[in-house]
Amino acid sequence: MTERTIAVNYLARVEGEGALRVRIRDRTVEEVELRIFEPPRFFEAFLRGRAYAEAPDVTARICGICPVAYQMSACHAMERALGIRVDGTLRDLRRLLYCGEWIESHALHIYLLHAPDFLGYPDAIQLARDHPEAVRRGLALKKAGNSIMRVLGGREIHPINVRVGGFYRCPGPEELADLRGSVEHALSLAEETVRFVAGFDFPAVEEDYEFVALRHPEEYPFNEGRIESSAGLSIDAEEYESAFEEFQVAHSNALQSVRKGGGSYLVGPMARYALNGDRLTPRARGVAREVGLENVVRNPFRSVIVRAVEVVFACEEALRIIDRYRMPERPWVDAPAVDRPVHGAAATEAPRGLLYHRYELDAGGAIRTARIVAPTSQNQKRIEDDLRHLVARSLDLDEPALTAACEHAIRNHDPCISCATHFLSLDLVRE
Amino acid sequence: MTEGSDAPGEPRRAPLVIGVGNRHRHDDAVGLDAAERVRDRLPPGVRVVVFEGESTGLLDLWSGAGLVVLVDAIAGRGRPGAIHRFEEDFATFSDVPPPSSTHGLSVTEAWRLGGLLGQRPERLVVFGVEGVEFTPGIGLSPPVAATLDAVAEAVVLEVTRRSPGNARAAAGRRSDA
Repeated sequence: MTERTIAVNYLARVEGEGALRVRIRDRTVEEVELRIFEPPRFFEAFLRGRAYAEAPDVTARICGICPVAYQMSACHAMERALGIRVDGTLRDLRRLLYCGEWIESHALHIYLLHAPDFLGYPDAIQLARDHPEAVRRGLALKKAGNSIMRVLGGREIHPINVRVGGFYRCPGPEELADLRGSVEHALSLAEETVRFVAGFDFPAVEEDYEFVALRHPEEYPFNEGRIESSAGLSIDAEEYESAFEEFQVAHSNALQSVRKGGGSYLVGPMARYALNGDRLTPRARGVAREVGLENVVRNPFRSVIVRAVEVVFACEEALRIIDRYRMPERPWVDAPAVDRPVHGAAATEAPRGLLYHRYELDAGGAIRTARIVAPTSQNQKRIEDDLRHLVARSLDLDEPALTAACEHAIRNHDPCISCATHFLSLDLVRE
Repeated sequence: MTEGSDAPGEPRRAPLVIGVGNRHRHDDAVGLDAAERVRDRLPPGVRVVVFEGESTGLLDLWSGAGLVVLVDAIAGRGRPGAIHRFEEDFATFSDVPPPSSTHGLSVTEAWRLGGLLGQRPERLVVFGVEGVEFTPGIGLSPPVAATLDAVAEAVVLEVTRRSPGNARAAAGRRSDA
């Protein structure tokens, strides 16, 4: 009997602190554990007793990379609880802010975290030695996203201008017009990015994913839509907890998620693209077609192309909103006073996938309960499934090669461990 | 990021002071506090930037600048509050307090990346202030707070020492205060 253990005790190039342990006995993969040891962060408990208006700024602190997603899901859930709706220009501005976050987050992941895997470098600095133009392109894209965040959110990290009902302050038309040049340049860089990443070597792998994402009648989804899946699910966010369940595993400080009565599922760019590819702009669809991207991508390594196509879309959507912007008369919609217990749930599309928030408010408008389910939490089990399949077909690789392959497979999904613990080191045991 | 005493049209080669850190991780804020403290003590034209963003943003900030004086917290090099000055030896400097994010680069990594991409200032001087408390929370620990005046003084001297006229102007403003 032979036992082999692969251990990565601290995963690099992911957000947060985690590790991976794989145990193989007699060429059978017995155990794959994505170990999230970042401490629990208790945000749901912090929120209890706080005024509902505090939720967007408190939850934004869950993540420095996708704070907008937390603000948006919190705002929408609260607005549903309060019975108000944000439309027109304010709604457009929310989508624009989300464009900034997607561009910034995706560019960071593609160039600084994921490209080194494909091109055989340990990190982005070594990558820059041989491919300085690629890294410059990534940084320029990221900067364009950051600029949107700064103008609309007040600052690049943890924006402070979002509130229930809209914004504290709307930008003047000249402020958005000033963004146009950098976003237009970013659009051409995003198209170059699609072509650049499509040239990577991809292993021939297909996974049988159940994709879960928002689906909107007209738009590629950011803020609104029904929660749909490739297996036929179609529900309102209020029904989320009837379709999905979280559970604790001993090896992770983050809860895992499955479909009730089913198994793992995948949220994020591949899911959004599979369910909403027809909602992309013609230019984004065109560049996807040009590089031969299939309509439904089941090879997780090709998620990097989908992410790049989403950057093209986000740049185009940002330009569309900038070009038609007229400063609204008021930066927010007033909410009625809360005089009875109410509740509201919403899901929006963080760069890494569906982000669900649900709140119950008491008769004074204070938060009684909060429930937050982050994309990485939902993807954890599915990432473990990907790894189990990868290790099973790669048993003849030596330890360093298998470890590198596992880390690459994890980074396919751009996990955000800090969000999930509201993860990586690999521990491989061969028996 | 908030910018300070730079005036429009100031030449890009004017000295630049950058305070780096995270205001919500106790001693990690020492660079930010030091930058605020020197803001009114520097000769006209010297830019002061309080930088709370992700470190790749430093490349655009310092690219093409003349002298850049950067203040950041460090850990594991000595007693709390100790001030370390780095210049040519910066490439070997480990500036990493306990990690709060692995998604971003450290200042050292930004410096290395800047070298590869041709996005460095003419000269970089780093003051690393030994921190002791990097858990979530606001406010410097007593030994780090006690060293803030000395950090500010070191930054002012660094900026002004190679320019006697500027040094006199800076000294005059201090005596008026």
